[in-house]
Amino acid sequence: MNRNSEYNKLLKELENTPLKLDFTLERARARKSVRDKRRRVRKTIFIPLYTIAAVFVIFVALVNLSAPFAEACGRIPVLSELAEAVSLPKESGNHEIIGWNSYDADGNYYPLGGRNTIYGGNYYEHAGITIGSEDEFVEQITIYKYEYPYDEIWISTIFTDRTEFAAPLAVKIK
Amino acid sequence: MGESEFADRIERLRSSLYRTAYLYLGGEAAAMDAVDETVYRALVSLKKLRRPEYFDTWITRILINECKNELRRRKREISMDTLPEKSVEQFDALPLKDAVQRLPKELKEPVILRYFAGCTTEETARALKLKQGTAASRLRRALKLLKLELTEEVSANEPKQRI
Repeated sequence: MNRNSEYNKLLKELENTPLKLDFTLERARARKSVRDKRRRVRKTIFIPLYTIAAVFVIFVALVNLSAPFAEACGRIPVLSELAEAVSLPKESGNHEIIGWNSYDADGNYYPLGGRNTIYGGNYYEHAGITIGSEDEFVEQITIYKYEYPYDEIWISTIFTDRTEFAAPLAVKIK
Repeated sequence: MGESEFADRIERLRSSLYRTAYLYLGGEAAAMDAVDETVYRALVSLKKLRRPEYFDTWITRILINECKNELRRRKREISMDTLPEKSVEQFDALPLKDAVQRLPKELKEPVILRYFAGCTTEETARALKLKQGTAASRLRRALKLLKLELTEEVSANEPKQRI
């Protein structure tokens, strides 16, 4: 058989297409329909979810990285609670202990208290807070100075029931 | 182009697409998969087709890319190399279908489209993004290698459904 008759034979063979070929469009439509359904679900559920998640992440980042933003949130009722809930514990940052109440070797008690803290030649006024480590419910008070980027004075109070409260003093630097 | 026109075009083209894929991939199942994938891809990206008059060329390109992807996948598993143009004797020894499959890529594509899928030389050139002269020259080289005596413009047994 020469090449031309082989060619004609092959063309004849190729004319016999499989029956399955007749339904190729139906299969494509069915696949597209499944894809469209998935896309609709993504659009109506996942995209809003991702948007909310993104907004939340940005909010958490701002609360923890931007002091003015955190302060502004603190003035809005619902946001202040949310901001408080999402603020990361500052103890993990670099800080320096400025002062604490303690006992010396002879058992003398050195209380920590007052309306201000003087540190590094600067005067820090405790805005609206008076520290009183002689309070019967207070076991330990420590004042920290956080380094950049916070540059804030924080107070940590451990109560006699072993619960702890830590918060910025919102000091004014003079 | 609306979906009903798309359906009409596919109805007219599917045999030609199948023949192209069959020659490209050398088997019914693989050819069917390639055609299915091509029709699906064309359907989902129909809105991207700016000029409906080039639908045939467009879908042929999708099919060729699909076939190339399949061949790349296969190459990782089994080695089925093309033969160099100089291996005239090796081409002679192969059945036509196998010889076509083992043609160098730049010759295989025009031959399949022109002599098996039923494209004209102009359509073949457009589908492969070649100049018409280049496509014609490649067809001549391929026919010489395959020892086929067909003209560039009229094949021995023109397939009835044309791209």
